[in-house]
Amino acid sequence: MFDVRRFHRLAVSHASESWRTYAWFLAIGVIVHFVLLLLLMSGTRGFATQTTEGQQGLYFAGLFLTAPIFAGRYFQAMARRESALLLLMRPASIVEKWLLALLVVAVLYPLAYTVAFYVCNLPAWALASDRAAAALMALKAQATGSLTLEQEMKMLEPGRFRLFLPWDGFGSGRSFAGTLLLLTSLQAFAVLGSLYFRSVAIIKTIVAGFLVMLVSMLVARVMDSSPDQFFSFWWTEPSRQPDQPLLFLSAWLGIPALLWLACLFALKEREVA
Amino acid sequence: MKLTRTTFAAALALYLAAVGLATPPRSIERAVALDMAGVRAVTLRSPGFVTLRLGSRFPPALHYTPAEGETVDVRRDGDTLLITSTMDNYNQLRIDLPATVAALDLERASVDSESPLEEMRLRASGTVSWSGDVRHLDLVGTERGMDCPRSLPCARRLSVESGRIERLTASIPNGVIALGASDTIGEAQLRLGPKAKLSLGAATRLEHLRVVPLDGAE
Repeated sequence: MFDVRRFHRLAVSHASESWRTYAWFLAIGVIVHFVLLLLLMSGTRGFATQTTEGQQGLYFAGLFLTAPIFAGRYFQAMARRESALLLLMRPASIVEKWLLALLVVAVLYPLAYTVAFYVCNLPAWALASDRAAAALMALKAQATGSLTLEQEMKMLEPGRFRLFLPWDGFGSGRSFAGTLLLLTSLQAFAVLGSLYFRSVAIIKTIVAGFLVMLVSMLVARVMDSSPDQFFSFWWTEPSRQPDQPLLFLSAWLGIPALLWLACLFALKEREVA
Repeated sequence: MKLTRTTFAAALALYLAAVGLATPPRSIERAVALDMAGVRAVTLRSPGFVTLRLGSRFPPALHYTPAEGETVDVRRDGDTLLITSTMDNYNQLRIDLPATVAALDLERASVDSESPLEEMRLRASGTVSWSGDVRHLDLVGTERGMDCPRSLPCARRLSVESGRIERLTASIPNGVIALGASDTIGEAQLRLGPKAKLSLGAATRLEHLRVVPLDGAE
């Protein structure tokens, strides 16, 4: 079922075959990031978009958009019979192939994304903080004592233009855990869609996700519930019913686990088919 | 793909169960009577949007539904009642006041007077709206720093939604003064700062409106 040396050989051959594809994927992300920064930072006050919070928003928006896309493309070879056969006939067990997918999609991609993010973010941040400092000096020189001016100066304080670091984006360990679980759930859903649907997998996966969202809205309406109580579980501590924390924790841990398990079964059943 | 479908169905069922059973705890509205004897002014500090009602048909009181840890504090300072709340939701706090109150100092609120008043001086540092009949309404937009989320300047909007007003005076250093029903305003003198704006709603007549620059900040 699992052999360390076989797994290592599988990982090495996958890396040598796929590194160009992954590099292009990240490069396209860097190009999109660059164009976005050009648009955001154009204009005299464009630098104000690159506060620490602005950088944080871009980082997480990019991560949550690109990670499921990357995950959905991991098994794109399964879309065609010839390449699917090659992939399934690799000398490795299904568990090893599945573990490699989990490692690449859920662990290595977020790390690679983070490195790629800073390719554009670092120079943009340096430029924005310089411009903010210059604008602050210009405002201080006016020194009229107006409170409106003081509020504008507060917005240009150096503390608001610190370089964003991913671990700073999480207020606590709970917040980090919640973000990780949410991300891996979306990734698992994307991988499952690419394995389950034999044709036009991406579109069918998006449609399936949309249907899940509609059904959950319907359930919340019928049960008169407040889904944000569930979705905010890791980020806030509002008053909850006594049995809810256990239910929510089970759901938050169980959903990604079951989705990844479904991916393993899908891979196994595709092999059999 | 039977096993795959079954496992996915289990994940979906768990997700829908969590969403469906995410019912918020029932909150209970509390009412606290207010001793308004000799009170002519009310100062209110609250991060959330508050509804105030002035009139003589109902007893003065606070009505609120606090979440865990949220409080409302009421103190007296001469003829001024100071109300401080930590509730930050919309309409989580409602305050009934007598028609004898002649001055309000607010942050974010809507004020509805059910009784005609002689005079009302309304100071506001955020978004405040007025409805009701009053002989003289004085609106003052203050530049006092407000504890806004993320230290961003808060939107400031003073609006007169409805009501017969014989004389309206207003001064605002920045933000918007909005006269929603200017037909029922007798005369108005507005002093606007360099970054302030005036908005006239469905105005069909406004014969005595004077707009002059504001000299210095309030």
